[in-house]
Amino acid sequence: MSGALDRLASGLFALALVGAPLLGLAACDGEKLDPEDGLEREDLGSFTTDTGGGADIPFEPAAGAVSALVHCGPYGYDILATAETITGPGDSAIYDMEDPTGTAMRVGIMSDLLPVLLPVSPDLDLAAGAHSMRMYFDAEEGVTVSCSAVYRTQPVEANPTVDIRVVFVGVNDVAPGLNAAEAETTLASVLDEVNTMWSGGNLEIGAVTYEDFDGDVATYTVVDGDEELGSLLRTVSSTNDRSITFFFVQEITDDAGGTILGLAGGPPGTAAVGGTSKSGVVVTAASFASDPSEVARIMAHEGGHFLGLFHSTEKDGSESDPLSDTPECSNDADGNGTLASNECEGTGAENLMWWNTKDGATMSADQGWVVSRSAAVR
Amino acid sequence: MRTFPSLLLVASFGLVHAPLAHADDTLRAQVVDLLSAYEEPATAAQLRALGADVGAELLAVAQDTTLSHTRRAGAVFALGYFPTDAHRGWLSALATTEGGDSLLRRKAVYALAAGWGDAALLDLGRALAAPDTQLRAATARALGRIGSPAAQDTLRARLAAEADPMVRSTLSSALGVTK
Repeated sequence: MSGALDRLASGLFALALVGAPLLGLAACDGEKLDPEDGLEREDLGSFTTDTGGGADIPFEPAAGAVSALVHCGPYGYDILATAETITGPGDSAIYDMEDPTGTAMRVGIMSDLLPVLLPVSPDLDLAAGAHSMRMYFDAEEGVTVSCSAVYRTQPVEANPTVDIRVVFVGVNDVAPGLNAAEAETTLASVLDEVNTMWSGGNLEIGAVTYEDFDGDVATYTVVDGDEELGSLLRTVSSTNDRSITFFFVQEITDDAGGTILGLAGGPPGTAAVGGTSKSGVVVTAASFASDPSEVARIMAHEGGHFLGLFHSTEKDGSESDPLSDTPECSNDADGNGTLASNECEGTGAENLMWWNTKDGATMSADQGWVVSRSAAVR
Repeated sequence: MRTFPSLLLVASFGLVHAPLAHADDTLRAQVVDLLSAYEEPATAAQLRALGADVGAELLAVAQDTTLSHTRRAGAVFALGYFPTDAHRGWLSALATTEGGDSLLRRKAVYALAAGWGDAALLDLGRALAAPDTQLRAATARALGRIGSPAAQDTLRARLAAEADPMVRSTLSSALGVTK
């Protein structure tokens, strides 16, 4: 089992975002917080891992539900978890960690909190009735998590939109104009580019708000490692916030000091659930002055992750998304183990969820179908 | 396009050049492609798989002011995977030149730590005393990754003098000290 986890962890699914205590889930069992918003929230309860390192999480979408976002945590920064299996009514198989590409489902491997969006492909319907997710943790038994679900009870309108909230975390020093007072002007072309990239999936930006970060700017303007990332994302309001919060920082680094262009909670993020380590997106804005289009591509791509999209094809070709209209590239022509963009021209590199920031990327129709299942999209 | 004042200063030391002529545009494209990943910085193995000339190409990318800031930063960082004397000299000048670009300087200190370890302590010690708080914090992390007794001594010495709370916290973390 751990071998499978290791294998998955080597791919994109090891975005391995992290976090800290899940805050702000005010719902009680099955209680609708806001019947008008097309969402139903359910507290699924607390679960403790058994001797097999797993826990079975039951959830039950009602008739008419179009998607379910199940999320379990917190379990800290030192533990990774994923779904081992997901079954639907009548124990029908939906997902198997040992053969993820044999299903139309994908699940990430996450530290601290695991969100799972069902479905993530038009080839998979969400049936009403009893479901079960077997979570697997790379830890000794006795890990206790709290689980909740957000069911989308209404489909999106004909022209889906997603509101966005941009929070500037000390970036004005390196990218003049990236502040709340000037952003409506300075970010206009960037948001236009995001709309262009999302247009293939019929998704459009709705309302936009800008804020200057009111927390510890010195700490978060360079996000170093998982703990800081999770802590920053937890600052997203725990109210019923259905926007995507994009934090613009000077830089995100990995543990070794390498620069990461962007990271999203997820995939998927905990859309419409604030206060978790997966409640938003962080964008390295260091290139805004030299290449503002790069910032647009980061926003569009990481926003796609937040809304439930996986990479169309991983850099090493080990994984791919479950969508039929996003080509899977396997043309490692030079045999160096990396699927380069020029090796996959016309066979995947032009997609928004390609692993790197290639120009001209767009969202596919199937990807538009998936993001319209997100609780963040109206 | 914004001109980084810091780069003008660095240019006076001869560190920044116009884009170099490329004998192998394919290699340039491959290197830039790897440096363009959203979530995963290029690894040493991925870069080495591009061939023997990749270190020189990384240096050229790092110096190419026509490329995006993050591509150049990725190249600076990756020079730590190819520890030649030429790379060390260039990284040393970048890391220790006051007024230089903060992001590139941070990548330089990580590269020096990864590529040269204790042999880079003189440069890292200078970066650890720089006015730029983010550079000091990055240098503290880089020294923490070296983890040698000499690196720990450098961290402890700085902690005794450091006034900035964020940097102090980072120094403590690098030393494994409870904040």
